Amino acid sequence: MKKRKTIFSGTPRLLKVFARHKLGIVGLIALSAFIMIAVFAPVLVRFDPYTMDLEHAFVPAGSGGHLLGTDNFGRDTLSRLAYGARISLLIGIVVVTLAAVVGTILGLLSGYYGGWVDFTVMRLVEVFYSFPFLILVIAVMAILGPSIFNVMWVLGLVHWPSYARLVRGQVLSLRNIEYIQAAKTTGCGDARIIFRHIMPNTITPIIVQATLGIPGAILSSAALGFLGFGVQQPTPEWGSMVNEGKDYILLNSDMILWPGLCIFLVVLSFNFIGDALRDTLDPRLSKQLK
Amino acid sequence: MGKYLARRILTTIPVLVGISFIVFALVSFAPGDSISLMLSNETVNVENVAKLKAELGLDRPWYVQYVSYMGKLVKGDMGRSVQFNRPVAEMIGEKIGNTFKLTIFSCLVSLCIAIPLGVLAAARRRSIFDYSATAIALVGVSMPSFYLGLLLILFFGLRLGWLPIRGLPTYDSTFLKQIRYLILPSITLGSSMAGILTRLTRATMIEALGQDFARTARAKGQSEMGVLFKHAFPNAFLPILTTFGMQFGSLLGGAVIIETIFSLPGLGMLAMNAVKFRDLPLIQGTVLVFAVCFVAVMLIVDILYVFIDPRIRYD
Repeated sequence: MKKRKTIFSGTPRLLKVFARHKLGIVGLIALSAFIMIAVFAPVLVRFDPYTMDLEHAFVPAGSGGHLLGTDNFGRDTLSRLAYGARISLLIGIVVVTLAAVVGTILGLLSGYYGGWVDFTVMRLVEVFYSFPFLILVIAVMAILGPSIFNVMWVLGLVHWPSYARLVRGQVLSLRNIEYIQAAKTTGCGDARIIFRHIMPNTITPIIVQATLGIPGAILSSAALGFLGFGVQQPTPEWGSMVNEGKDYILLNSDMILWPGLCIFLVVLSFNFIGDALRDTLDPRLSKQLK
Repeated sequence: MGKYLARRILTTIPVLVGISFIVFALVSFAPGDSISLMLSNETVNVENVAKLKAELGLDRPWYVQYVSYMGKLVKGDMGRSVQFNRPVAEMIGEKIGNTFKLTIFSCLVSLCIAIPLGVLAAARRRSIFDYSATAIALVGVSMPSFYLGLLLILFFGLRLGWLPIRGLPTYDSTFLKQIRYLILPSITLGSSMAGILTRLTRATMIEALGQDFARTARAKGQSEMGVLFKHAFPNAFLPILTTFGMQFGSLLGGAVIIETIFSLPGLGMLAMNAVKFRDLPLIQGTVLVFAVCFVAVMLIVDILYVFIDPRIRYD
């Protein structure tokens, strides 16, 4: 019980600091709206996102109950956008979680053990950093074949190095601090020291980095969808919806405008939240990260 | 200084080896048979596959293949494109110039937006300039480049008809004509970097302006412009340069998208074609060249450091 108290004792103050960031609050509200739309998509929309109705293709916004009109196959745009929110948010969160877990573990090992472990991990980080990652991802997707699972794990594996580098730096500064030495003298094993004593101290920067990483992951997966190597049609994914719409750019530019706007707004709200969170949780870090 | 340079240049070697290995592994360890991928358009029979495998040396263990791949690579041989039956190196050589033009223009666009805007925002904090710089930067960072590209095509290309939206006239055209074709793609590609650099310029300038040397400069009667550009900016410039170098990678990645949207015949479009036709040697070649370009830019940035930052020179 006592421990809980110490963890959460700073929370009201942090909330106050976060609340001072007006844009952070705006981002939080916008993101909550998108999450609600994603979760309750089946209840909120009138039409099925997959049902084609060629007689009613390119229906303008507002007519026939289609609030945002229909696409080239007569599918309801609003329904597709709502279901698309599920995919974009899911990809963003899964990719960042995967990258953060892999990066954190490698960063902890690299910083704690040093030596050849550190050497190998850091050279790997450098090699991964030196690929323009979108090109690597496209090449891998081309060889593996596009699917939502491949998008997630390939993007996740490409994004781990920044977490590894961040965590390694934190571990290096903690490794020789007294309480770690104390834990060692009392006979704690390596695993216990790494996960019980060091990792909790690296969580804050990881959370900040992850929040700032989600918009990047959403943008990358949308770009993959747009190029045709991401989530495949007919799944309603915003990037591939823009891709479909680009052939009808003059006939019906709504097909591009809406899904693109959704990507932009979700990414923008994550950026608002990330900035506010960074200033709230760790003002020292704001510079180190960007 | 010589030591620093030598060490920096030497550290690129393991990175280059790592890159070449990943590019090699991309195809060699891929699930499925790379030969059947190549032969997918022809009638595949076991004999053909075995014959082609022996011809290409793919029946040997992977490390032997890697050594022979590296041996050819060092000589500039990246294999032959399956789709076009031409040397990959030659095809890349034809297209890389256009990608260079696009990326250099995009860098110029983003620097021309980011540095004045960031400096102005830092000099006039909490003014309308500051808020609009922050807003522009956030929009730049959050905008999917393919969306921005299509919007620009729609408004400036199709509705207003001011600028060309497709291709790049390669022969029989003056440089000025080519620039017109590069305006929209460069704005699209440079926007995200412009956003990132604007925020960074603002932050580092604010920090530099708060330092003792800035106060000293003001105290001795230096004009505000002098404080900004003679004292603060040179200090703020180093992190900007570093970030510029690191962002160059996403610029190269973005070139794939932008070249596709604007039909610019560059390396990115070549890579997309290679990927669409599963032309494995061409995929390997383009990925490799993109990565090597990025490594080269990072190296150049670090070498520039030596000339810009005297602290490294005297170490």
